[in-house]
Amino acid sequence: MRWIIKRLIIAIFTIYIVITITFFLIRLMPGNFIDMMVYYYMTTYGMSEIEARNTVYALYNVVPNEPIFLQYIKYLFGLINGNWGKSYISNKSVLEILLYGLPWTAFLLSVSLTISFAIGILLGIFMAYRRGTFLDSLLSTLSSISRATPNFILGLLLLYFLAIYYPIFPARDSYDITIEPGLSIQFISSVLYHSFLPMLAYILTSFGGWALAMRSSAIRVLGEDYVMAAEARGLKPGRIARTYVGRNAVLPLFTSFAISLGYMFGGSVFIETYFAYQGIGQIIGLAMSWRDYPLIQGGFLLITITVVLSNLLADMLYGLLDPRIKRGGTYGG
Amino acid sequence: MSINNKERRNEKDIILKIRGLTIEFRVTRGILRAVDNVDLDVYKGEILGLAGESGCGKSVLAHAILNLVDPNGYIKSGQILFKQNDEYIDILSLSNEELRKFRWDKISIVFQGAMSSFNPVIKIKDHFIDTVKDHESNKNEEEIVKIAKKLLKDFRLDEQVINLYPHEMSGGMRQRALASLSFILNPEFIILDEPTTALDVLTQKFIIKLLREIHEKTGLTMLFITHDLATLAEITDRMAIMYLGNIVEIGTVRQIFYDPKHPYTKALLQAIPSITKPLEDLNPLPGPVPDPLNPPSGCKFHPRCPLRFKACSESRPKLIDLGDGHLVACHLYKRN
Ligand SMILES: Nc1ncnc2c1ncn2[C@@H]1O[C@H](COP(=O)(O)OP(=O)(O)OP(=O)(O)O)[C@@H](O)[C@H]1O
Ligand SMILES: [Mg+2]
Repeated sequence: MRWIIKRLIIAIFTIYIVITITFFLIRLMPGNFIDMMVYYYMTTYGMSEIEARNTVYALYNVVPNEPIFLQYIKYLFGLINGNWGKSYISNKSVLEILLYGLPWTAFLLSVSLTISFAIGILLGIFMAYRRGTFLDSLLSTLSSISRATPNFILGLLLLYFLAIYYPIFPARDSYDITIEPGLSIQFISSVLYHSFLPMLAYILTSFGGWALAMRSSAIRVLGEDYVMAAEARGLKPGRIARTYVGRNAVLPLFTSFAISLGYMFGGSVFIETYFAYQGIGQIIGLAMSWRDYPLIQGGFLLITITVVLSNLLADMLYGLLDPRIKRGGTYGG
Repeated sequence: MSINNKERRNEKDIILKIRGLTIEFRVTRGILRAVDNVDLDVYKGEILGLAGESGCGKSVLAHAILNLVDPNGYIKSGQILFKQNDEYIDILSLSNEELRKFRWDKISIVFQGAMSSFNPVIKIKDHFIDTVKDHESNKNEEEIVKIAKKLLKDFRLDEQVINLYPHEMSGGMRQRALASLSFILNPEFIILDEPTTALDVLTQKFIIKLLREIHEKTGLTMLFITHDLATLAEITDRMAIMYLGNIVEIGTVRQIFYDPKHPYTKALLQAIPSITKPLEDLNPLPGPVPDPLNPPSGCKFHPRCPLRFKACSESRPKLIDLGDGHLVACHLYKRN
């Protein structure tokens, strides 16, 4: 228990550091970011300087002539109270916009990641048992191709062939907007139908990495004494593969699992933009093309929080699976 | 000791017959022959000792009895015959499922590396449970834990050890837990590969005594491996001496200690340190252990042998019986 609290404190501290850095970057950056923005609004929207300056101050919660430290404290409390600034384009609260997109992205990514992780693990352990055979080489090559393909390229191909050329799947939206959202079969199947292609793009481009990582980890474990000892005890092959090889081989993969969850959040811009899927990625993509800085900033803060939390999650899972960490408490900082 | 009544051995009492066993490993520099054409008989109910310098192939031989070889190795030739209901089955030609059922149920092994023989992510308890469940599916966990606790206690461990993870135990505790685990299915034959090396002298003595007691009570057959000849003298009935993958001498403890035949055995005995002997009297063997990848021709011991003659470098001596079950592989001796 103490171990989890420790990890939690570290996580909160990391988020705090990122917030602080962004705060001071915007205000103290050489070349003055604020002046730059004022200039940008003046030229782009034809505002007067006063008008532009007031707009920028409002957007970034900058209070002129207030000591920077006081601003900082106010900013922190603002974030905690949900005041992440206002979107310039839609004039809605940044947090409101982001929280609308969050569940969609979380759904898309967690399902894709879980499925590709599961496929990768099974494939990897299978390859490890068959190492050196033709089947192993074949699957390793396939996995390498999967790992090397960028998801947005496969996404585009899938979109073109399976949504536009052969319109089997929808080309946009996260659900059929004529259906009332709710816990109805209709709505759920519509959600699954719409998410199929983006998920396929994620899964097909990430299972290979998992498979290759699992393969090498499992090969290492297969050489461990306790595997031979388990064979000597006449344990059933299935049990050895699961409890002795699988469990030990999968442990080191959990850290990458978390890192990749955060990475995929950041990378969701492309896929969600192509498929016009209403998630965080699409929001950030739109915000970037409209230069809606408060929204971009909020989006990045949200990504940071996701990365940190998913790391925490991985650590906790790791602790659950590896008794040496839970008990010893020596892992990490 | 019970040596006398066991001296008259009968062909019928052989429980394990190893014939022409050769095991090789693929290594970067070539092929390493770790066990070379070994013949060995183990009589039912005896404790056979296996001794020899580090790296002579004791562990590889022991693992092969359960048809276990590291992934880069293979059993090149030979038979390992185990007596079951008056007939011999060849362990090496069992099907996968037959082999799985055979292992631990008939023959169990206490590995030399007790440290790494436990799965780090499950408790000691689960090792017992997994083992019993995969052999006798009708036993429930409580029964298994009860038997396991008793075995742990026999080996002087607190029964609470059962709830520990392997990394929470000391090396000696793990070694004793592994020994307990080897008894869980009541095997007919137990292989003990250096079972006392991680233990302090008192625990070592206790374990030896316990093994003797178990042996006397149950008539269990044991293969006891160590390079410590003094320990072997305490516990075994007969012993085999191994050098570079070959068995060079087999005899009763008395034959080996009081009437060693092979020059290597003599050298080994000379090298046992003792507090009553000054250190200078210890006679270490001349020369280094030869490279196992390029073993000497003829008798592998000849480059280090003080008594070598022409034949020694030309042909490999076979194990011959000098009478009374004393076997030696050396050109100095003629079949009796
Ligand atoms: N997996 C392997 N790959 C290559 N060589 C091996 C392998 N296992 C054992 N050997 C070699 O086989 C020979 C016999 O090894 P073994 O472990 O049986 O020695 P040992 O007699 O048990 O020694 P010790 O007393 O140190 O335990 C050694 O030369 C060793 O290097
Ligand atoms: Mg050994």
